[in-house]
Amino acid sequence: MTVALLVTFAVGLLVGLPVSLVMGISGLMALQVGGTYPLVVLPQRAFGGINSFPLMAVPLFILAADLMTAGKLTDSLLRFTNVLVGHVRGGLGHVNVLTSMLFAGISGSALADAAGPGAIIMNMMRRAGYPAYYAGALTATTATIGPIIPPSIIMVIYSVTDNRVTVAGLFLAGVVPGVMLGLALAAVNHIISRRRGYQSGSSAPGIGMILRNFLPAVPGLLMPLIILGGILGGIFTATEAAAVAVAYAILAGFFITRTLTWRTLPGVFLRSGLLSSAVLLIVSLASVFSWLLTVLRVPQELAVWLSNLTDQRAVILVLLAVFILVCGLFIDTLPAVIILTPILAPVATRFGIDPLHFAIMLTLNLAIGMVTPPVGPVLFVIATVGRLRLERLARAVLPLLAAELVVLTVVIAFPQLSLTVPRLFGFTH
Amino acid sequence: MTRAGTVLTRAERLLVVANQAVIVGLMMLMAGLVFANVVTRYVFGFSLNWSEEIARYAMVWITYLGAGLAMREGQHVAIEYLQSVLPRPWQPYVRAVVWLIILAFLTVFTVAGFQFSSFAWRQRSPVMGWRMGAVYLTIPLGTMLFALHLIIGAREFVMKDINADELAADAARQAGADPVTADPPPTPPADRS
Repeated sequence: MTVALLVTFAVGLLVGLPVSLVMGISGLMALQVGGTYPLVVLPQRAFGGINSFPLMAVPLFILAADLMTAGKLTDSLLRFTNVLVGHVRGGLGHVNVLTSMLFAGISGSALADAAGPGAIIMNMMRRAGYPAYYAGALTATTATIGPIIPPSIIMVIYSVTDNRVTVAGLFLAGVVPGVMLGLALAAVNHIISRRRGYQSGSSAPGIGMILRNFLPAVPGLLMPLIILGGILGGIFTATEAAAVAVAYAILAGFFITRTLTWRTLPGVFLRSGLLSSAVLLIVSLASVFSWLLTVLRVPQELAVWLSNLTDQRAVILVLLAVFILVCGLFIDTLPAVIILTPILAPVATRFGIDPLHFAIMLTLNLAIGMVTPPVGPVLFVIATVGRLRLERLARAVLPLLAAELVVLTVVIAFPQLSLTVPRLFGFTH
Repeated sequence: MTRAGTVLTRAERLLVVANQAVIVGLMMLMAGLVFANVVTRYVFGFSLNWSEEIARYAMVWITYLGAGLAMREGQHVAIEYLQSVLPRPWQPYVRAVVWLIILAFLTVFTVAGFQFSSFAWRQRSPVMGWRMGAVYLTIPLGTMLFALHLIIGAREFVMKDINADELAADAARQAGADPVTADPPPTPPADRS
């Protein structure tokens, strides 16, 4: 049964079936081969997997992000970061990093970040004279910051999958590693820009210029504050925060930027509804898949196999990290979280790894896997959007990827980096 | 175009528009209910305990009733890299096989969904007391709708040129990317020739 499940999964992915359906199809195959469970568990698990209030943060965050774009809040944010850091050497590269950090995680998918705001900055960089491959590589790697810095849809889904950690705890745990990732990429961008002599796009802005661009960016900058402040202050849950963000984005779009109208509103709801449908279908069918892995006792067998191999916590950490990285090469972040968390989180706990620390390690690891050659999905998106050759893009990514792997290693080696901030706020486990 | 042809196209348009309207309505309902609950709790001091249940079901309905439309808009991520390195004449055949697999899966899923719904027909939802069987109906109805969209869009699906710009367009659509323009540098020229 396990073999049928995994083989169908691998083959299905390779022939190009949609990722969500592959998990349903391989689940169905395993049920057929095993014959122990009736087929109704398929719809039962599929329904149960998404019948969750915390999960509702996902479609609502997607909607809020779409409304921000439609209401041009995103534009002013981009303009502001450009004025702020665009004038230093390699400036647009820093804009790229900074925007990824500010937008981080509202879309929740590194793929969406790469194709959305990422693609816009990539084009800006290219027009400003940066080599196309460097612009592409930087955009691909900065897209991985999204799932780490709060608010992050990936973390919402993680907390639904492993109920020992809370969304608020996860959000806080991601702050330091996310900022480290951003700083590391900015540092590499600085070194490369200096060595290759990339110029800055504009001259240094005066204080008036900064202020003029800061004011329109305020509504956009307030968004993460409202979300995080509300959740951490115990005012509302992550799902409610997302609904408040939706209401805020609508109000700001109607009354502050005045770019949202009654005519455009249904289109925004439709677009985010369909994106939500696609994302939630993955969650729904991945629940079938991960339920099968659990009843097939895959986590237990893996734990036994690992403990026969070694009892050193450091070795286990490395093995887990390599395993997750390899999985991240083949699977998108979202399904990987749903599939891997129930398998690996108990194993990690057994070896004395803190659940929050493991959660950050898994998320960061999977995010980096998205840009790792040969098959990082974000690379595909950047290659197609930017009309670049995949092999050359993969080579251009390497120095940036190296920096990300250093950050990952440090985050894995020092649990305090993930755990200190949540502990300050009283999230202990 | 033949008369039967125009009737079919009109029916298809109607299906798409109706399906879109359902998704927009459910999204508004879901967001509205969750927000209303926050407002009533802080402004009026009471919680709408039924709002959570309805919002949750609305989310499941959005997922399954939107999946077919999402497919036609290219929202379902697939790794089409292997297909794209195949010789061009082979690609439609591989895509036809993929199309058939999806249809077969949706058929089985629909049957299992109806079974599940009828098993649970007598159960009641905890707050509203709705028939769970009726709530569960969204799965078979949704997968049937998905299959319908798949069949209508069969030609586009099989003949899709995965080497061309479409992937880029898909990816951009997926992210809901607007042709946003950024200042100081002037409007980016749409990066496709």
